[in-house]
Amino acid sequence: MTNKEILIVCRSTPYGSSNAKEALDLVLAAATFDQSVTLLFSGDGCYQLIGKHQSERIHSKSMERMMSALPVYGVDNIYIDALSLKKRAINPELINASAQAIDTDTIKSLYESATTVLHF
Amino acid sequence: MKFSILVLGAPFSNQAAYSAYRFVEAMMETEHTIHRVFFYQDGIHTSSALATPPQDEHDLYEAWQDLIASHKIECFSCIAAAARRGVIDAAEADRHGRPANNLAKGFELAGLGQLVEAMVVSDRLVTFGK
Repeated sequence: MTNKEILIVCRSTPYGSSNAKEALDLVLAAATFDQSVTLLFSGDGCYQLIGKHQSERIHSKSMERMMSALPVYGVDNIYIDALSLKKRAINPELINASAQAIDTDTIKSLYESATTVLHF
Repeated sequence: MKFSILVLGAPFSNQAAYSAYRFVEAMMETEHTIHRVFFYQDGIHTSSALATPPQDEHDLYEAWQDLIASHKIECFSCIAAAARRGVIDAAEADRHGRPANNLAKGFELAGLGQLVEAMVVSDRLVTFGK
């Protein structure tokens, strides 16, 4: 298989729709098949990375727990849009440590270097 | 060029499945090839054998089945996404003790590995989203 650069952009809240989980499932599948995957959280997707979710209280699997599997699968390029955080007045310190905040120019270069881009 | 198609929206509820159908149909008139069509998230409803549009409306389900049959297009629905949403084949129905199965002719259930393969092997992945 030729290697592609896959960029997956998560823009949805963690539990309001299936987008967050189904995006992560795809990220893990791509990583399992040794593809280079970059994960970008932007817009409302930022909420997926905030703090400790007590998701069992809404009968949901924890986003946090799923994401902790990412480094195990070799997914290390995890980014979050700094501007989205700012617009939502989210304290960057609340963000899951594995994600690196990046600016708009860096986001542009992520899109430029990707061969396949999917949005959830 | 070799194309793969990803459909994320359900027929009727969303235009994605219809737009994808028109796109694939148009592709058949060109020299490009369709490697695979993959249905994920709500898109899996396209592969339901039980969906019944009213008589006076376009039957997109039948249209997809005819398109697949006449051009031998490889179509997969994500098995997990489909099971969650109530589309299963005979094997899954047996495995989980469900009273019936409803995967439409021409479709197969598969894991996300088939979508990843499609991305890797194709020159382009065109997504019809929500």
